[in-house]
Amino acid sequence: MISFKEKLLAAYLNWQSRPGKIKKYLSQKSITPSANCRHINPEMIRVAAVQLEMQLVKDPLQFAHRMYEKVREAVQNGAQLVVFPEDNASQLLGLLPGIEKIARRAENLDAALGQLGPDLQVADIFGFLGPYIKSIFLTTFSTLAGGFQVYINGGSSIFPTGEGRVVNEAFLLGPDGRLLGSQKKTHLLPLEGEWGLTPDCCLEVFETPLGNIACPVCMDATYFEPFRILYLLGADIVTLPIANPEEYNFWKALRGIWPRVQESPLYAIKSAMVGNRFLGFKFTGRSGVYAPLELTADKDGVIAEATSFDKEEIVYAELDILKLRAYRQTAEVTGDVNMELYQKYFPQIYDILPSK
Amino acid sequence: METVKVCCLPVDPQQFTSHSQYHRWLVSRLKELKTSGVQLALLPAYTGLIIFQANVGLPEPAWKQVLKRYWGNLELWNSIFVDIHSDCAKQSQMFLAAGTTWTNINGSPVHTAYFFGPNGELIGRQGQCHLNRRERNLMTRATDVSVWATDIGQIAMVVGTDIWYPEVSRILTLKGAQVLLAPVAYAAPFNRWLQVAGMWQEVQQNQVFALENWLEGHLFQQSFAGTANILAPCEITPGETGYLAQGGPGSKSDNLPVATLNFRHLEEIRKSYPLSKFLNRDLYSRYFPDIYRRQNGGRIAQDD
Repeated sequence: MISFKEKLLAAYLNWQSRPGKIKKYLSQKSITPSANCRHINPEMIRVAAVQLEMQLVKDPLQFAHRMYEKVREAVQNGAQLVVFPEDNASQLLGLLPGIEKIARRAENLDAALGQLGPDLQVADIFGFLGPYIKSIFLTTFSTLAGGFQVYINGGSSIFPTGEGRVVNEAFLLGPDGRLLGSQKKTHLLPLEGEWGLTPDCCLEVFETPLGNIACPVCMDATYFEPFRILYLLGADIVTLPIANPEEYNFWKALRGIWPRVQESPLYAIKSAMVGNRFLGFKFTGRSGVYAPLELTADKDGVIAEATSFDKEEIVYAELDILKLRAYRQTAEVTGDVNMELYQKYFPQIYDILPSK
Repeated sequence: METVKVCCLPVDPQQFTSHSQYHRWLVSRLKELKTSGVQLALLPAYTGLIIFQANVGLPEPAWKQVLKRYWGNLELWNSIFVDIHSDCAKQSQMFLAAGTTWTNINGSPVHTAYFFGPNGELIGRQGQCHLNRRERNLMTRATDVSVWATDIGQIAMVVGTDIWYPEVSRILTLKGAQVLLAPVAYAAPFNRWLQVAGMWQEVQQNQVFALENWLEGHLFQQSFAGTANILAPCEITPGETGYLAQGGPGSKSDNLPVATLNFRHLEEIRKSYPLSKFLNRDLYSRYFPDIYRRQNGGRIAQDD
């Protein structure tokens, strides 16, 4: 039986997260339809990766305002597709009454949870808070995408699925404000496993006039498998929100999306969360836009990259989808297939893994 | 065995005028390495052709003609290749990944690496499973991969172009490989990022050790370029770079990468950051292997 306190909290969160409040707030901003997506040239798709500082956000309007500012800046610089980081909506943990005080006192997330209640997992918190955060998140980005008429991957957060699972999920919205689709994370960080999240087992590619877009999340890029699958499903562009909870190291940061687009020829837009004061976590970047070596000016796989690994900035680049598709037909080392080998080992070789 | 000392030995293709000179040189180098404690050495790819060039002394015909002549007498050249490297391994009492030659599978040549034990015994051969664009008209693919249990750990080889196909390293790691040996030959000019996109990143996503040895020098009208390196997961390398040892350009002995592989460190990083635990077999089962048919315009059940 739900307690009075829980009813009160639910009512408060309902009130705070009502779509009308956010839409009204954003309607007072200077949001005018851009011409960025009016005429799309597949040889010149302009994209933006937002590097954002993680902050505990108490007021949904503060969240909407921050996102508005970033999208406006990106749109003014010609972006047709804007990508935000992983855990973007998790900033709305600030909605929980008293969380700021707890965050100040606690050294880390586990310590903070301990103050909220015994045996509480991160999945429990987001399981409860998730629907309200999702409402704020989707209303904000739907309004911004439709208002500015651009494509937006709003980043990800942790949400309940309604089937008793809690997942890390990213969302792609179109220039009419409609939700084009979402992608649940398929490979968890060890920490997320401890938190009670579950991975998904489905991948999607969304056909758009910009190209075919996929939206895996962070740790998915540590494994070649999802990118091989997305490439073979027809993806051209992969948007990758990340929130990397470790000190920046060039080589460790290189381990994610960069090698994936060398193995499976794709464009990738990586958007990184940064910041060192979020519930004991330090997040480092760098955001960037990546491609197969031969499609980059210095043959190093980098089209554009953030100048810092710990500050807010927006990275811009132009992608030539036709060039990518032509490259795939002539690439020197990639593009071969060994069905006999794969049939011998896939998928049963993975059965040797211990059950989780 | 908790630690193993290993080395990549560059080979200058132009320095030999006979296969016996190559033989003597290799025995001498391996014995030197053995006295410094090295237990395993990796040679670059195309050592079979290096022996052929030294022996035949041809006035540099074109690449395809060379391969045709070599393959035309493959039994002879492979016999010389095996005899030389078996003897080198035996005399130096070392494990020797002897570079590559070709084997004849159903009438077609397969680019194949050989691995010898310290008694000169042939522990195993590994064929190349994927072909680059130029290779597809010349040779055929191997269709299986092997991991060898040895006194110095679970060893496997990733041959040539396979370094850019993550399927191979993944299968080998899931079969138990701890050390991957990669003999490579790639046409100049050298792009270090192409090299990083190979074994460096395979080591990171599979949490294994690897040695890579890229042929550097001139062989039958072709220039090859690359370096030799010893690789490990970033967390257990100096500066967290993923490199235990790096060779410089050129094949001089002062550029020799030598390192000690510490299997306890490897197990520790695998435990503390268990990437394999989060491989998603439910996801892969949904798509593999049928989805690969799409690569060449094929259809899969989900398309219909």
